[in-house]
Amino acid sequence: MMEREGIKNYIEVDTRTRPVSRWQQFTQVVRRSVSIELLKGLKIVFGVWLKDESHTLIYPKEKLPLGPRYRAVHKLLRLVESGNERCIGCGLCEKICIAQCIRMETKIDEDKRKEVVDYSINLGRCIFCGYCAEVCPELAIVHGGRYENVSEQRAHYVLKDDMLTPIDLLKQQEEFPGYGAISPDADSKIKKTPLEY
Amino acid sequence: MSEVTIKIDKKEIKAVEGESVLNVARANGIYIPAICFLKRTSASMACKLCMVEADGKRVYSCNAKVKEGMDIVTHTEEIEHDRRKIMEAYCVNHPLQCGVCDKSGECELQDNTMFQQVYEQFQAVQDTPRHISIWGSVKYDGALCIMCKRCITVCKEMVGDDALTTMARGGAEIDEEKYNKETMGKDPFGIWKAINKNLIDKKIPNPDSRENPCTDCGECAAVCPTGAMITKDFQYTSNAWELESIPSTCAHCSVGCHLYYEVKYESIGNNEKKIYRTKNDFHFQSICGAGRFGYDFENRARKDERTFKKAIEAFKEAKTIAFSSLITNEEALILQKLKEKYGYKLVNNEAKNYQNFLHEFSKTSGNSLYTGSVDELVSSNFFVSIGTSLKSDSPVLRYSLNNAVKMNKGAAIYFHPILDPLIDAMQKNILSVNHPAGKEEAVVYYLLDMFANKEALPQEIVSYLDSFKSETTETVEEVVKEKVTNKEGEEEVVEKTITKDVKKIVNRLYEEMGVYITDDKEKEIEKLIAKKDKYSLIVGEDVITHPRSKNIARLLGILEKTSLFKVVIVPPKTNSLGVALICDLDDSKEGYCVGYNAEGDFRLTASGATKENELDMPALNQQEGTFVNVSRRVVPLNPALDYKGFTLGDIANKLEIIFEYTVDLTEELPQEKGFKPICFDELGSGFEVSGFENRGYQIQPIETKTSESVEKIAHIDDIRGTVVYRCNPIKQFSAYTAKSTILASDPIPNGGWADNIYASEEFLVANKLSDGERVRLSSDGVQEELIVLKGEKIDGKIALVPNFLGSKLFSDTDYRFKDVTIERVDG
Repeated sequence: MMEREGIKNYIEVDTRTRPVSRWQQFTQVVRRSVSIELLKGLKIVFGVWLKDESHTLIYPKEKLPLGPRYRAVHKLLRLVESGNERCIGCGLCEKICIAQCIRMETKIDEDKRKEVVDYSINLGRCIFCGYCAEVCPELAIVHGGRYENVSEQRAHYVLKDDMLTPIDLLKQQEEFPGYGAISPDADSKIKKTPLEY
Repeated sequence: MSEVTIKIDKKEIKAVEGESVLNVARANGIYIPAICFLKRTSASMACKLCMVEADGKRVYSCNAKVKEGMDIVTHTEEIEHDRRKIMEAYCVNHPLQCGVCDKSGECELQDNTMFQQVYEQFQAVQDTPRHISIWGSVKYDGALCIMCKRCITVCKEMVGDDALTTMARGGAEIDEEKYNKETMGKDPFGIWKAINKNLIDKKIPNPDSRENPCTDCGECAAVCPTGAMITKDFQYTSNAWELESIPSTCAHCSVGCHLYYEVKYESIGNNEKKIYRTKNDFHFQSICGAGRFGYDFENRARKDERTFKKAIEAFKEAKTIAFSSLITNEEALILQKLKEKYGYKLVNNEAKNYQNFLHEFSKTSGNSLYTGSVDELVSSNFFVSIGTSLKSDSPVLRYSLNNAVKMNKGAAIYFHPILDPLIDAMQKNILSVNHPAGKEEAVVYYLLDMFANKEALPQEIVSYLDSFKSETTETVEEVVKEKVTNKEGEEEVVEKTITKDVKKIVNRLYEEMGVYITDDKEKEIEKLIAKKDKYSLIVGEDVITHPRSKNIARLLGILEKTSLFKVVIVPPKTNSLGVALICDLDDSKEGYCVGYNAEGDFRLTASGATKENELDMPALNQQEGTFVNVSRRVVPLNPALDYKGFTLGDIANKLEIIFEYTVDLTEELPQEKGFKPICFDELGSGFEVSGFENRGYQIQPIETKTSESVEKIAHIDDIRGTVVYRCNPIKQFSAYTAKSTILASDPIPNGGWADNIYASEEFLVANKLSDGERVRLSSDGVQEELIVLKGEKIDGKIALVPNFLGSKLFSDTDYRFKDVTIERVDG
C-alpha cells in the first residue's frame, strides 16, 4: 500500500491529560469554543485547492494509466507496412481458449489464400486470461486497454470489425508490448538454421 | 497360414506367418513410427522410419515378415538417432505455414517431428519452386510433399486407377561433400536424396487422348500425411481440431462404407451444425468419391404441423405405401408394422425384385442368404464379376477386387457386355470377357462348367453341359525337327512338316454366350485359375433384373453350393437387402398411395418438400438407425446433423404404433431372418487397431431346404441395334448425391446431371451425333428427351442412361440393357 504524505502509518496513543474537576472541564469548553482550530482544517483544504495537488481522479475525464500487461477487450492488429490483416486464421486462439468463447470463420479468397471472414469473442464467457494473445503466432490478437463497455448487447464489442484496427487509423496502431510479444532477448534464444544460398 | 510366436520389445506375441512385423506390432498396441505405411497395400519403403532390430539386424518392419522365434527391438539408441535424422531431413525446406495449412493438427509430419523431438536443423539445400496442381477435386501442393508415395500406392494398389506417378523435381542438388552417408547416416541420407529428387504428377497413360484414368475418389488426399493433397471443398474452411467426428455409414450405395462425418457450427451467427467433410479410416476402409464429396444432402426443414396433419389423413386414407430402399432398417420395420396393423400394401419393386432373387437363390443354395462379403472378397485370390459395371455401381467393391488381386497374387474374370477401360487397366491378371447383352444365363452355365464340382452337380446339369461339347478331329500341320544321320555319317537336324490329327473338344456353350473364346484365351483362363484356392463371385444388378433372373438365381445357388465360390449378390440400392429381409412386399399399388421417397398421391420426401402434398423427412445423414450392407452386416448410422421436422416415427406414433425413439426398434428387427436382439447403443461403429471390424454385427445365413430344379438356357431376343445401358455416372447414385452441391460442381464431366446420356465415341459416330446435342430416345412407346454427351471411360458402342433421379425410359426393375431408337431433336 502506498504511503501518502501527512499520514502516519502507526496508531497514536492518546497521552493528553484529561480534565478531572468540574472547573477544569468548564475551562476546556470555553477554550475550545473561542480558539480558531475550526479554521485550521479549512486552511488545509483551501491550500490544496489553490496549489492543485488533489489526489482524486476526475473520472471519466481522467483515467489511470494501464500497464502493458493489462488485459481488457481484445484488438485485432494489422501489419503496419501494408495494412493487411495480421490474422492468418490458424485457429490456435480458438483451440487454446479455455472458456471456449472464440469463433472464427475462414474461407479461400480470390488470391487462393486463407481469409478470415469473421471473428468473434463471446465476452460473456471470456475470462480475459490472455492465452489467445500469448498463443497467436502473428501477434494479431492482443489485449487492448478498453475496459469500459456500455451497450445493450455484449456482442457489440466483439465482432471482427470492432476489434480490427480501422485502416484509416493504421498510423495510430502501436506495437503491442504485452502478452505474447517478443521478448527483448528473443534473438539470442533462436537456433539458426543453416542455409545453402 | 500357421501361427508363430515372436517377441517384440520382450513381449511375447502370437501372429500369423507372413504378416508384416509392423502390422503385428500395431495390432498389439506397440507403436513403431512410420509415415509411408498403409496397412492394406504393399510396403513402399519410402520413409524408413519403421526400422527395427530383428535378431540384432536392422530391418524395415513394414516389409519384414514375421518368422518363428523372431526377437524384435523397436527402440535402440542408433535407431532413435537415425529416426530423428530422417525427421530433420523431412523438415528441411518444408514451408513453415502450419498456421494456414489444412492438415495442421492431424499432420503426420507434425506428429513425428514432435515425437522425435526435432528442434534443430543441421542440413540445408537450396529450395526450388514446386508446382501446385489441381487434379479433379484434389489440390496438390508440391512444396508440402514429402514424397512418401502413399498417394501413388493407394491409387495403384487400392483404388486401381493408377493415375499418379512421380516426376523429376529439378532444382538444386545436395552438396554431397558436406552431406553424405557418413555425416548423416545411410538411411537418413537416402531419404533426404529421395525427397529432393521427385514430386508427384498425374499420369497420362496415353498422351493423344486427354482422358485420364482418375475417377476422382479423393483417396489420395485422404492418405496424404501432410497438407500436400487437400480436397478442394474443405480447403481453408476449418481447422481439424474444431470438427467433431461422427462415425457413421455412407448412405449412397449398398457397400455401406464406414466413414466419419465431421461437423462444426455453420458460422458465427448460426449455431446449427454443418458437415465440413467426411473422413475414412484409410488403413481399413477406402471410400469412393460419392461418399467423400457427396455429404451435403441434409434436409433443413422445420416442423410443419399443417402438412403433418395432412400426412396423417393421407395415411388413414391410403391403401398402399410405396417406398424406395434409401431407408433404415428401423423405418422398414415401422412400415412393416403399419402393414400388419392396417393392411397397407407395401410396394418397392426394386427391393421386391431383389427379394425374389434371393429367394430363388436360397432354394438351390441351401442358405437363406449368400455367404460372401467384402472381407471374404479381400481374402480371396480368384474373382469373377458378372452383371455389374463395378466402377459406377459399387466403386468400393472394385477397389477391394483390385486390392485383393494385387495383394493375394490373384486373378479375376470380369464378365460384362461393356468394355471398361478402367478394369482393363487395373491389373494384368484381370481378364475382361465381353459377352453380348442378355447372355448372362449362358455365362452362369459356363461358370458351372468351369468351377462346379461335377460330382456334386445334379446329373441333369452335367449332362446338359456335356451336350454342348462335341469332339472333333482337326488336322494340324506341324513342323518337327528330326535328327538324321547323313551319308557322311554325321548327325544333322532336318526340319520336316508332318500332318497330325488332333482331337479337340468344341464347346458350343461359347456360342450361347456369344463370346468367341480361342484356344489361346482358354489357356489364358486356365493360367488365371491355376493355383487359386479362394474364390469370390460378385453378382450385379444386370443379373437381378435379367428377364431370366429366376433361373439364373437358382443356377447361382447351385454354383455356390457346388463350387468354392463365395457369392456376393450386390443389393441394387443402399438398403435393398435390409428391406428385402424385413418387409413383406407386394407386387403392385392399389388405391390411394403414400410414397416415401417414391411416387405417390401424398409424398414423404427427404430431399426437400416443394409441393403442397409433400412432407419433409430426415435425410440419411440426419437419421439414427441401421443398414444391412453388402457384407450382410447390420451397420449403425449415426446422425451427423439435427433434424427439426417430423419423422416417420412421429407418424407411426400418431397411428398408434407407440415407441419413443426409432432406434428402440433395432432390437425388434426380425430374428427369424438373422437379426440379433442387440440394442442400437451397443452396436460397435468402427475398426480396431488390428483392422478387425467391430461395426454392428453380421447376419449369418440360415439353412433352408433345397428343392427346386433349374431350366435350360432360354432364348431371349437379342438386344442389338442402338443399345443403351442404365448406369449412373461415377459418383452419382440417388437423389441424395444429386442434391449435393459439391458433386454438382464436379470438375470431371462424368459426375453429372440427370438429363444427360453419356455416349462413347463409337456410339456418337455410329449414330451421327455430336457432343452436346439434344436427342430423343424411344423404346416401347416411351420417349425421353436427353442431351447426349461424350462420356469418359466408356469403350465400345454404347451409351449410358442415368437414372439416379429416375428415368422415364427405365424403371428400377427393367433389364439394364435396352434397344432404343435415337433421333436428334432440332432446335
